[in-house]
Amino acid sequence: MNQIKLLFTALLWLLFLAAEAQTRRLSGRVLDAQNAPLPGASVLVKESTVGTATDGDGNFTINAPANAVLVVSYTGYLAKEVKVGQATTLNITLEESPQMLNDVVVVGYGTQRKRDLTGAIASISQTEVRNLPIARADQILQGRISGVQVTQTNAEPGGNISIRIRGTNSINSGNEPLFVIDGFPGAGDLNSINPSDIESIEVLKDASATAIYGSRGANGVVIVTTKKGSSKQSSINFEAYHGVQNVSKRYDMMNANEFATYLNDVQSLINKETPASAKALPYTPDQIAALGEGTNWQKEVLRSAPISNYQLNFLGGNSDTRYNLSFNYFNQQGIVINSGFQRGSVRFNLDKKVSDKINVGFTAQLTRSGENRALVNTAGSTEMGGVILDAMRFNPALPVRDQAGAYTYLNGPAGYLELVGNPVAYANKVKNQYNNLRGLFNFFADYEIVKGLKLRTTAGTDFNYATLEYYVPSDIYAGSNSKGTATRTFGNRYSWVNENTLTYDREFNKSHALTLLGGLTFQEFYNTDFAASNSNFFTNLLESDNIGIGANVLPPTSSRSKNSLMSYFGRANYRFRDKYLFTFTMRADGSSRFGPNNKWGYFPSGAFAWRVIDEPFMKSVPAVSDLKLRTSYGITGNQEIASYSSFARYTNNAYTLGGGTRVIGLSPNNIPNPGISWESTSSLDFGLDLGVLSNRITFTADYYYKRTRDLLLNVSIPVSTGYSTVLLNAGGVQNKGIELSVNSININSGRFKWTTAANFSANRNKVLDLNGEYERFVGTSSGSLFPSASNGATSVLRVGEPIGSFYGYVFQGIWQTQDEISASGRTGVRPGDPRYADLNGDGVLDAKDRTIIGRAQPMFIYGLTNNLSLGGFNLNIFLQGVQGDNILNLNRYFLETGGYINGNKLQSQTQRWTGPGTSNTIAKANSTLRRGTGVTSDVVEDGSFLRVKTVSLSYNLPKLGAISTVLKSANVYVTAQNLFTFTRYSGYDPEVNSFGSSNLSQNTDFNAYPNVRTFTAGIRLGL
Amino acid sequence: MKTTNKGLLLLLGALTLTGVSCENFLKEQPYDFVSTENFYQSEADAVTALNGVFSLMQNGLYYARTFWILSELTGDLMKVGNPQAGRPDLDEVSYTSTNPEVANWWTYSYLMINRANDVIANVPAISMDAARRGNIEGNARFLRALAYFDLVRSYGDVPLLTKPTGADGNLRPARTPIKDVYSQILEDLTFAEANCFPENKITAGEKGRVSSGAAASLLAKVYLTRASSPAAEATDYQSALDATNRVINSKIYALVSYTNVFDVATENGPEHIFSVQFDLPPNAGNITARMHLPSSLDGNQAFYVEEWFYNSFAPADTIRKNWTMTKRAGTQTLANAYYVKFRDPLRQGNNARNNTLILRYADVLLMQSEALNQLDPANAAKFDGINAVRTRAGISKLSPATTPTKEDFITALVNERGWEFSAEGLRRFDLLRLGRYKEVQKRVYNRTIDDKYLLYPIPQTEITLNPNLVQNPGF
Repeated sequence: MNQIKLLFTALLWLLFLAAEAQTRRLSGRVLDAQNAPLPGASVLVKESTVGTATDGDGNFTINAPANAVLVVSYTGYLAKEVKVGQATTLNITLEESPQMLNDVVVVGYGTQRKRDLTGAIASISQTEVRNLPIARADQILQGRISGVQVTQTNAEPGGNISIRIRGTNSINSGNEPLFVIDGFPGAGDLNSINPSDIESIEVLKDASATAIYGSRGANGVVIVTTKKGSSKQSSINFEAYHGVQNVSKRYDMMNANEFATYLNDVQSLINKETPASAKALPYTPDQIAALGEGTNWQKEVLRSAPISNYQLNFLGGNSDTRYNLSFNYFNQQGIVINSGFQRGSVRFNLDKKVSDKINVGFTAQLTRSGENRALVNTAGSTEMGGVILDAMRFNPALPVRDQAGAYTYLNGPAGYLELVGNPVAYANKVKNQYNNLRGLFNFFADYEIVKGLKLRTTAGTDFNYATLEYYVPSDIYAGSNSKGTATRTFGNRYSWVNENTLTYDREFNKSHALTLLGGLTFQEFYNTDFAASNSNFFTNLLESDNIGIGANVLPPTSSRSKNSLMSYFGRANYRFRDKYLFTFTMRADGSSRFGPNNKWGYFPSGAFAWRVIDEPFMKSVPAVSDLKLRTSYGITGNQEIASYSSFARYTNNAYTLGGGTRVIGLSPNNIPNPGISWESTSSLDFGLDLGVLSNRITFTADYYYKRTRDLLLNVSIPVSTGYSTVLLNAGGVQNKGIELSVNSININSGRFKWTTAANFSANRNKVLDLNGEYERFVGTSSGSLFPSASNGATSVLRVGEPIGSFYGYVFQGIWQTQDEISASGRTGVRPGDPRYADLNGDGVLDAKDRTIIGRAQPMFIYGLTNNLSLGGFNLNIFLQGVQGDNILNLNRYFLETGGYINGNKLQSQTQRWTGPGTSNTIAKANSTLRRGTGVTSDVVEDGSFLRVKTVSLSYNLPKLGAISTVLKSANVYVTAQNLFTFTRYSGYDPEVNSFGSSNLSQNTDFNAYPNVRTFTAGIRLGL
Repeated sequence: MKTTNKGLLLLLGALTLTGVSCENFLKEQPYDFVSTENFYQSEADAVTALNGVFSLMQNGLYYARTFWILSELTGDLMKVGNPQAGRPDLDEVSYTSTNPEVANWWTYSYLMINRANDVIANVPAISMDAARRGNIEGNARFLRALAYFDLVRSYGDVPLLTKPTGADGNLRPARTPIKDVYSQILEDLTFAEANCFPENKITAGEKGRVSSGAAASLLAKVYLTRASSPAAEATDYQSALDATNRVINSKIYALVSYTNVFDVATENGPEHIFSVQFDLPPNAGNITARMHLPSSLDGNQAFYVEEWFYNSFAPADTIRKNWTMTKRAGTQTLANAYYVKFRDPLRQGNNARNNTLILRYADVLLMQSEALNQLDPANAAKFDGINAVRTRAGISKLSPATTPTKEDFITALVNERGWEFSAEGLRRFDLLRLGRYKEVQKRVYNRTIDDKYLLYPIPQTEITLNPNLVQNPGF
């Protein structure tokens, strides 16, 4: 007995020892591809129950036998099996799982799993854009999402951006999408949101996704979510980048010698053609010979400008608290001298679980921003054309400063040139400073009434204090008439919102799941403004700080307005067998902007999606890993109409009674229309989501058809009514198109990974109805460029054509000889003048000879991102392009012959017509016929471009030595933005719209701020 | 469960509360502009609204310029100097429906009618002194009547609107027969005569307002014009005569020396009955003076005096001729005579202080003669009016010996009105009313005028926008 016991024990000990000898203690670290630790990752010994989790720093220890296999997994990453081998320390890197269908996407008033979406929603996370020098949050969207066209209408720092989601809906009202920032709808003005604070952006495109926003959803919705804390770990992040910007392309202007020769040519032609007004030539041959290069005015007003950004972030929390405290300072100087944008912001986001059923939290942000504005995109009078255009026009023979050091005052020689003041003096001496203080706060409280039934209440406020200080001194030409002008404006924009939603979420059984949402919201916007101006100042030293010392007192102005919104809405999401997904939404919006007869609008939508991949028959196609078909139809509205449109406004005028007594009169200005209502868009969408090879390649396609009706139009009426127009909801516009996007993991092997994301969109816009009118002439140009109202409209709005159809005369070449002119019967032209087509053949060139000469809307837009990573290096190349659009380049009326004759010209103008056969494209020096005729086809250019938008190379520093005890991660990067642009457009940049605030003046380039090429270098540290 | 009930109850309560207050929450209240809700509350509002109606007349496209360009160029006393779009075809009586001045005349008449309609609709409800309220309404009615009178004698049948336009109203009104338009004009003027203050109660600082005498004078002209139109009533000439007699017998008005009628220093004097007021900047100025001046005197040289007219004055008629026209510019003598009737030594560029005279006492006297001639050519009293005007001008009187027949008298009126009112914008309507338009065109220009030119065409833009409008025949 004892012997057996002894043997047994010994055997046990042996086994134990053997096991001991086989099982080793392993330690290691689990990291992600950027060498950042993954806390809470699961490490299991395969086919055993032995397992552990990594700590906050990604470290783990586990007992595993030799030759065991560890299975390491983490939510959102692909699980990895690692053979233990002989090692005792393992560093395991996990790859992010592509297109995680359990990923949660932010939708209107809630979140949904990506697999359950029935609408067309796209999202961008901050990791895709974190190495980019971005001033404004909406720049993030450019070229990365199909169906979204983002145009930088003003390249000035702090300049505006225009976003169109699935085309242009409206003619007279707003076309920008609704921005919802941390749940605050209508928080536009992205200049004062810090892009480094953003966690993700979702774009809602079709009616099913946007109808929940009712009368604000017609133009799409962009939902911005800022970073919240983490409940697992605390971290301190510091990011900084610094870079330099330069103009990406310059105009090639004549130098002093060439220009003097040109000016003489102009005058000798004038002397020959109209001897009655003959004058001596401005330069003698000796003077011309003495002139060399002269001043390069373009170079004088442009400079190399720095851009920098500093962000410090404290993120952290525990199981019932999460917080994010961030500080940011951003400074972008402008490449035009004395221009730039600065912003400082503080953010504090807090989420707190107060009890089992109650969560509270808030997002709070305070930003102060300042824009030092340059005079660009102006209507261009001859006195103050604008800094860029004036620099082009200025005589290169004149120096910036004279011998005494004072600024050259005026363009000259006098009597031969346009009266233009020194643009360098203007840029340096004029103060045009816009400052804004903005606070955006949103508080929420969640209460779980019973399991699955949650009540959420939010209360938020968005306030803006904006001031403008403007001073034009009397010692520059622009201020000489008024002897100095000072203006101060104060604006206060303030809004509050209260949203209350009740959500019921219930999975009845495997076959039926239902989520119901009901909501009630209130929102109000207030605006007040005040402005005071004076002119005639005896001293320039005080600028606009003591406006009272101006001798010419101009009356101050003030204004106030308010609009309010109240809504009920509901949504039902029904999942049948988790394969058949139904969504219905309905929203009732009451807006103060709607007239008394139409206060409430109703916006329903319905969608159906079929997760084909979950059908049994799909198992026989293993290559396909995801397949979903979606369709939706709904009606959304646009309430971005002017407030108070339904009222009759009385405007003031004056009369004189005998003896010169001035009396004020007040008369009705418009017909009141109590039926004013929203513009409504009904849209139909068909979509397909496809994934192959375990979702290694995913593909999304959408076809949409949208019809907007009840557009607000100023309809022409006979003047016997006492008015020439009445504002009615009457017009119609159609948009239809396709969107395609592909994401693919091309190579993913160990250290090297290559992914590609591409998107492509094509939209076709068409005007359907102008309340019975066939066409009207629209589009802004400059009042001084085309003084006659008849040739100033640049576009035609016509039924059957897209918005933004340029309208004008067809250029056919240059008249070479007098015989040619006589043969044609045309009068009022000379050899050397441009020739325009007489389209209706009546022998006369007049307004009836105009036709559509170009289109501002593109054929298609696309973007392509390639991401390559090798070890710690990562290279991101982003290409973006627009194809098939036209740009109206109004600068050419100044820079070329045929328009204004008295200013510097492009160097190409030395190849102008000087006799028969010398040129068929550039008119003679003193021709003004192009400007006298109007908009012509030769200034409407092809604006297609392909841009290497961003190239960014970054490196994750390995953890070495002492640094690794302090830093959790370190990353350095260099980025080039707008590296190359391939385009045939002759202006500064094909992405331009000088009159961006008007829907009907698209793609017009007039004195626009030049676009820049930026190189930045930055670091990112995690502590 | 209990908490659920409480929660739901609270929610329901909140919802009902919101339902109650939502009406006010969504109501728009204008803060920074005047609208129908917050206007027409007091006398000051009424006066301000009335000023808005007057204000239109100062516009160059209305009574400052278009008013006399249309009437004089289509007449026989003025011709085009430097040509401008739309004027030569008026001068040659070959105008079409796209003529810009014809369009301006239609447009501004209707703009004034709409503003007057707004005042007439809203002022009677204001609680204020009844006499002053009646005066304000009378002023507005006079201006509306003036605009309709201009329209009806220029275009014939015209849309008749007497209420402010609303979005649900008829935005494409059709033409109303002249008979009904005249009835409305007479109704408005009768009210104005009864309610407006007489001229001698209008203070110097208020001169320019409509007086009862102005309403009576315009009534006379309306009756006389209607009497020569297809809508004539048998009593028209008598009504016209009665109206002129009311003005004459009121003894408020008198003829002054010819130069004092137009001299800015003595404007709004005893002869003024109704004029559009002008002043120097910052107030609105009258461009008329500069239009006529030759370029050597910093003018636009836009119009000349017809040579035959320059030579038509009687040798003794020097006062009127010398004040009205000249061929001299500084030391130069020009080929064409130009009008200097409206002159202002303090003119600043386009802005002069000359008032546009719409009604003056000389006109009333001549209208009295015209009416008497029609009623009873044998009545010698018909010479009173015309002789008073001639005596003021320093020329010999007329008598049954010089002017035996009714037609001779009309010829005398045609001539006298020419010498008296040249360049004042009355010529076309005088010739049409006196039935001598075609005859004058034949005699002076040797043109045979088609009947269609006795009216202006309705502007083409109006015809295009309003399918309910039928164009005047021939255009």
